Amino acid sequence: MKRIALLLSAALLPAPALANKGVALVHGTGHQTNAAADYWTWDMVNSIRQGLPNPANYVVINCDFTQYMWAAGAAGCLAGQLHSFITQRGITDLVVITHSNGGNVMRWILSNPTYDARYPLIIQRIRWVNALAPSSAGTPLATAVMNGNVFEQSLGWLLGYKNDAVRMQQPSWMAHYNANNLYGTPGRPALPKGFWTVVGTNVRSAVWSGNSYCGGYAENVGLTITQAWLASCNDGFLECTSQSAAGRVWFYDTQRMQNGYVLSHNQSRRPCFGLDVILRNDL
Amino acid sequence: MRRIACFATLALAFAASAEELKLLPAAPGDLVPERLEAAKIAAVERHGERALLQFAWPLDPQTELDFRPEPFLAESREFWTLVEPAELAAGFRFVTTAPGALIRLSPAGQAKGGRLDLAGLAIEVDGRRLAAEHALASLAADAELKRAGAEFPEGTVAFRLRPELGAGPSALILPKATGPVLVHVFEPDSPVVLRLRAGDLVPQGGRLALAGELRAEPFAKAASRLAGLITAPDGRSQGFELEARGPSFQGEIALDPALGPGEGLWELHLFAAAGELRRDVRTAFAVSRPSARLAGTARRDGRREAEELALEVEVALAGRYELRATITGTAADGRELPLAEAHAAAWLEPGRGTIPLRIERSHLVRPGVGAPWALRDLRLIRQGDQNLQERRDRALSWR
Repeated sequence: MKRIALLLSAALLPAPALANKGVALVHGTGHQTNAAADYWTWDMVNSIRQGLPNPANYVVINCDFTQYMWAAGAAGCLAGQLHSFITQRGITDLVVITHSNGGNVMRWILSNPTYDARYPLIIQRIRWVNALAPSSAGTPLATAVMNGNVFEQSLGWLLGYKNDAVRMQQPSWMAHYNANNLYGTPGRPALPKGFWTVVGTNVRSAVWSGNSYCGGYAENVGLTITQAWLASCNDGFLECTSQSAAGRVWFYDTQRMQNGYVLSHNQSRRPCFGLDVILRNDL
Repeated sequence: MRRIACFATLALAFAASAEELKLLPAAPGDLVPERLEAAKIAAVERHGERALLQFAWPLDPQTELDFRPEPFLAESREFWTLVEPAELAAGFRFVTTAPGALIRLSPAGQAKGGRLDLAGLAIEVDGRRLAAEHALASLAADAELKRAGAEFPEGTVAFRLRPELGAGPSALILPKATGPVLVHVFEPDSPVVLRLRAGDLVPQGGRLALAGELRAEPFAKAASRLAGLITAPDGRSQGFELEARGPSFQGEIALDPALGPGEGLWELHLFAAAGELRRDVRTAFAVSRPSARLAGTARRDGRREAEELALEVEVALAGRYELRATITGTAADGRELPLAEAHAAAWLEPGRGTIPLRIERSHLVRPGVGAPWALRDLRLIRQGDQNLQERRDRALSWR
């Protein structure tokens, strides 16, 4: 409701004379070199950017989000690409769309404005962040992935799994970072810009269900297995409580998706059930 | 003439509002360094930003802030263990306490990255031995798990036991294993829970306080000793043991000073066992290794357009240091209300320096809110390695 009120008040105000809208898409965990094709799909990217007065004002981020969120290859890379996009195209009104751990890297920038001289300009130009299934409180799956390491460490073997982003997304780690380094969770100061979350609540992988096929049937099969690690409300990778832990909930999938469909963790980055149109209309 | 008068008024206001302030005395729970370290830290040297940066934003005064949140409460209905091939062939024995356990197997050690031969996989529950096709409700291999975003090691398989098998003394039989296997058993519906809460910040040279409980019989009575492992960000670890008295336990562990710093957090891993019933749980914490601290004084410069608070900092190691704090005001009924969040960071050389927080006046001027103003949850952070140097719940107050 508050988001609607903000939209209405923005619509009633005279548009800034030189407002130049842009959109940035920020991927989740992983090292991307062609996220438009490999992570989001061009169908998703091209659909969303049609909501811009100038559809060329978009950027798809490609960074190494296997690193800690503050690392040069993660937040540093994201800041570099956002800063270049803003300055080269003269963007004054930027909507950032993140997926999964991309929300944490973006929240790092919003929460640590004096870490890097590029951050303040980026924050100033952001209208808000639309965070699709953000892993704001981590996931028990990260703990499950990391936990075998202790045996390898104690036996002097190679230091376990090297993906720091997975390490960081263990719930105990995210609790620490949320309480000390990041803003926007309950009891903590708000972020300087809005952080609106879209929450996926379940996974469908039945062969007879059309819902199962959007985003790839095989992907959704894997998610139904990982659901066993999670509380009952989840998107196959994240519990709903994690997705809604920071910022404010924009909507739960069943509230806005066509036919009340759910969004699995893979579907919340694909043009499934009208998600791309909702994001397009929000620009 | 009118313009000159305005300038004169402003100048007087500026002159009247500049003052020297002293930090309030530290309170219990504050983190105040007793001594500073000057040893070089690679992450601090790598952080290349040198500009003085200041940033502040307004907060909704009705926001309820918790400046001393409880550390994370970790809960476990699972355990991990490393099992040798001979034991797997004979049957690795464990106890399940609820139907539908989830079991994950990953090749470990020198077998890491290889494939598990699942031929002959069988499960025994309460004396009944069943082949995999009769015991498993579902099975996923590493490729399917990776597509789901769960980056389990190569060769991992995960499966769920059929709920109709029930629970009780169980065995996992894997006759074709050629190397050690990491076995992870998770019982989402189990009443047997190991809970752990540890302090989320330990001062350098301090002790880690922890407390927890082992819930549900017979686990609570039988598990009298707990073993644990603390792992530092550099990967080195130290072991420890604890006595459990009844269902609850608590302890304090002196951290081995030889364990090294690094990026990321420290981890505490605790193992409990009652016969073949096992649980282990893990949580994270930070260790403060200060190379700077607040010197105790601040200069307040209350200009018309902004409030500036320059805090003096004593520095032992050159680096980029950040101050962040919540600025509060006081409502007519005496309630303390958050008004703004302010950050500032600067590169400081050894000796004394200042970091000036700057808050726009418009962030502070709110209807019905006035003095006294305060800096709450003031933190001094070494940005290069995100190390918290000093933290004060209530640091400064002024009118």
